[in-house]
Amino acid sequence: MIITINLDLFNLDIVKNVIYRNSGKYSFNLDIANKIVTLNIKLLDGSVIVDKDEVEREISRDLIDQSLRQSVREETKDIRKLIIAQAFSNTDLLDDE
Amino acid sequence: MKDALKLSSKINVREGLNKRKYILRVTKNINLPTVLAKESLFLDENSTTCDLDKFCLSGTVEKTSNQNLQTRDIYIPEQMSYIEEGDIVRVDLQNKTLKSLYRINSLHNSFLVTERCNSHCIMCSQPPKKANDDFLADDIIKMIPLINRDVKFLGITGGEATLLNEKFLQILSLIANYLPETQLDVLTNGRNFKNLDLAKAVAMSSNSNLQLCIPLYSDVSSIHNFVVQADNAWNETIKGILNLKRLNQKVEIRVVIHKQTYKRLPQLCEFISKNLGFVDHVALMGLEMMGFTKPNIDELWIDPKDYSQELIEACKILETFRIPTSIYNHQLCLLDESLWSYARKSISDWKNIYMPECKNCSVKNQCGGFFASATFKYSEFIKPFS
Amino acid sequence: MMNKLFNSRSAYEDSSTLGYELLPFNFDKINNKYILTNIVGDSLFLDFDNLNQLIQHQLSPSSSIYNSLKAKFFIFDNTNKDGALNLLSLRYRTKNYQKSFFTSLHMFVVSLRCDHSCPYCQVSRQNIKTNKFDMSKEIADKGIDFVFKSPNPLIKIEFQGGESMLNFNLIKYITQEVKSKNELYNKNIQFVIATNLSFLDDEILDFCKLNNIFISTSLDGPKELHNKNRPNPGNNSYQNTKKAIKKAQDRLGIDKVSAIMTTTEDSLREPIEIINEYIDSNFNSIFLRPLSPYGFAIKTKTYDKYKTKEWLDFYKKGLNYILDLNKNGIFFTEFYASIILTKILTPYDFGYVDLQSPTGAGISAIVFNYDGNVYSSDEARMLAEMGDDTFNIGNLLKDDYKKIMTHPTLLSSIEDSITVSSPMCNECAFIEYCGSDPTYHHATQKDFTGFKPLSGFCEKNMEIAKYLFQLMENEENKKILYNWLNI
Repeated sequence: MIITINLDLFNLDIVKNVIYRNSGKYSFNLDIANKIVTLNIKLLDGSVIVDKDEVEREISRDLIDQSLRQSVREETKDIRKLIIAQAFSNTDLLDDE
Repeated sequence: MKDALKLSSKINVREGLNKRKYILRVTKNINLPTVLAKESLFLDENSTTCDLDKFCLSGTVEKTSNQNLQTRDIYIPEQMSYIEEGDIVRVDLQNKTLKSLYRINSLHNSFLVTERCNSHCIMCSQPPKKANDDFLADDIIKMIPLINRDVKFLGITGGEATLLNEKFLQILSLIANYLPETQLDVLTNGRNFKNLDLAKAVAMSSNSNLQLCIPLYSDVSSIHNFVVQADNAWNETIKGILNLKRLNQKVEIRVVIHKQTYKRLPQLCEFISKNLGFVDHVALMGLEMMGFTKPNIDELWIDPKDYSQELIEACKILETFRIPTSIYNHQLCLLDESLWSYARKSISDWKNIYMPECKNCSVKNQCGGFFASATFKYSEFIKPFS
Repeated sequence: MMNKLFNSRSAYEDSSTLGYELLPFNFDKINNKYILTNIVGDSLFLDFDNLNQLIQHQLSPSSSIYNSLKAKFFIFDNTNKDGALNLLSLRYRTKNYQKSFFTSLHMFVVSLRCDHSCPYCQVSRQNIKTNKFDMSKEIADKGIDFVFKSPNPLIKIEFQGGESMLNFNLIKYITQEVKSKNELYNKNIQFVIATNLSFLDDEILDFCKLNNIFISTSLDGPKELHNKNRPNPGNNSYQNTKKAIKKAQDRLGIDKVSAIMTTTEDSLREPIEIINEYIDSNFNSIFLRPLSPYGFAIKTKTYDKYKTKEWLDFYKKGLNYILDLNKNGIFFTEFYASIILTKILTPYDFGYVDLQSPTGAGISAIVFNYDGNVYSSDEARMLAEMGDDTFNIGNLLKDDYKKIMTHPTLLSSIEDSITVSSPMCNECAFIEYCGSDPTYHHATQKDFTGFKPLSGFCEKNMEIAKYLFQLMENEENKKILYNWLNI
């Protein structure tokens, strides 16, 4: 089955991530033109997908989840470094006394 | 119904004495060596005719009859006749007052070192005052060397003791040096321990018998800050606890359970178990009807029976994580029987009272009873066991 | 209304225009809800709408979940930033602390001789009469030196084989040498003998008793299953094993004797019978182990995952049965579940080497083969027996400690498999309950990192974690599972 994704809605990293996560169930052929990604999705044994609605729902949901994950990762990458740096240091980086 | 003990009183003083203040140990021993007698108040019960000059002061309980006692320095009113050998008193000959500072036969002597505080808890039983009250700490500093060496427990309270800085450290030091075997509980909001230097200074001034008792009222910072009426208090208290633990100090966390804190009590205990599981003890305490509690009673009062579930759940969590736990100031009839093993008789036996409902209760001796102040308001579920 | 001397609650809520900020967390779906886990493994359930609002910064401080999100370190504002960061970093340090102590478990393969012919055994078992495949004293001495090079104050020495008791003299020697050397180092040292108990006698029991040695044996299930899995030509392995277990328990105490099972296709049909066998032998715990991929030449990648689904059915059946036992007053635990539960519910991590990141291979556990070859794990040794020597990181007779512990394969297998930098793992809600297994992924996919969508290891751990969370929605189950924690 074919799914098209607008790269303005979900960037390429998100799409790639969703493909990666689902490659245990499906095989993907990827084509990009004019900010539109076209995914050709088949079952791993090469056969055609029967329940297209279900797969579309799955992929849509994954795209949204992955987009949220990307937001969280971006927003928290600095504070994550801070926490880990303090965890492994012998002094307080936050100590302003 | 017993009244709480009167701790201080006006006294009659012999004519012609100086106008000074003294901190003295009470003795009834006429044969006390001079070196000790000069820091003692001799309490005369038998109208002795011996020469009492070696004692710093002499005194007797004022009786209505038989006053051939013009030769005693001070006359103690009947309501303070409980004073006994080994007690420590403050005698102010100028203002003519007598104050009991330390009672040898009390299990829980607590010393108020200051009424100043940097928090303003909505249920504070010792409302803060701003004036300089260094004389309180000075008295304690003078008193410590007079305390009997075998005293088991002492407490330091306030106000916020750490505001005293040097004097606070001096008190810790004196207790560690003069009373090396005594367990010392210091009540503190912990906020000043955000400064590691203070924690270090405390560690150096004390021995391993010191425990810092620090209140934490919620796992949610804004709720804790509301209860203590201070911005940033939660952050500072957490930092303080961590700093003290970095220096291997004993830390107890105290929680006063009332309307603002009971709902998240299980969550708070889970928070403590996961994040502060290295603390030495958790004390879950009932509300005292003193100080600010009265004007704020509507925001604070909840019948302890009504938070039974939360209390049971909280104790279960602490038990799972093996954190030593005690419940203070809760009467046994208000506690589910599964919690009786946590309940402590924590109110000093001269401070506690029982209510009319307690007459004939079969577990009266086991139960801690009430603070005298509880007559203001107490649970409607108090009832005796048969 | 507060008395006018006091400020209201709202006065203490966050007043900055920024509102709240996010702390690091991952999330995944469980049924129709989302589970969120933070950087130290604390967890929270949300529905999608709340999750979305949370991430878009649209959650209001008055919403019912705002306070819990703050208290459980998913968000922070002005009022808790300092405390949250201090506690999170302390928790993170606590979780990882154990790893810094380095290698604890040292396995000595004292002999390849064995009397059993278990079909799943990858070791080339040798005839019990020859001693050409016994570890020599010289190699044992080198191994002992290696042990004391580890900085860990807690050391575990496990004797393996073949059948380890066939070289009992060497076990005695190593035990005595280690104890004697330990007078200088003063470490806490535990000894375990992994054995099928065929050759257990009073002399061995006396020695174990005297030296406080633990016994770990194999019990695969009821008679038919055990004997099919573990044939001992001319003998009834099941009967002998059961008898020997009792004998060892009587002499050493039940807390000194444990058993493990190896799961085969045949085992998958009988989870309850296997568990009953363990109860019958006075054990109060079982480790429902996964199918081993090492015994099979993996033909297709899907094979691995198909088998995992069957195994998960077996596991869940077994776990449910164990929960029922507990509900009926019998205290019995499942080992793997208790490890994962400890990670979910407590701030501690008990260092189970197969479920940690960086991997425990080499840096937490290490294997000395009878011939002096050093392997980063027992599975690595099995791979070598099958002809794949990838994880052979040196030889005690030729290489010193530094050369072995800095072997390029050891280092790259550790580095390539760290979960926080592996695709999918780094965003997985279950990352703090999981670990790395470069040996497994090399064996099944020829890749230390592993392509997780096709990984049986990944699917197993995710499914078990999800299942445990679902079980804990029930109060009675939750209570029982809390009792399994090692605190």
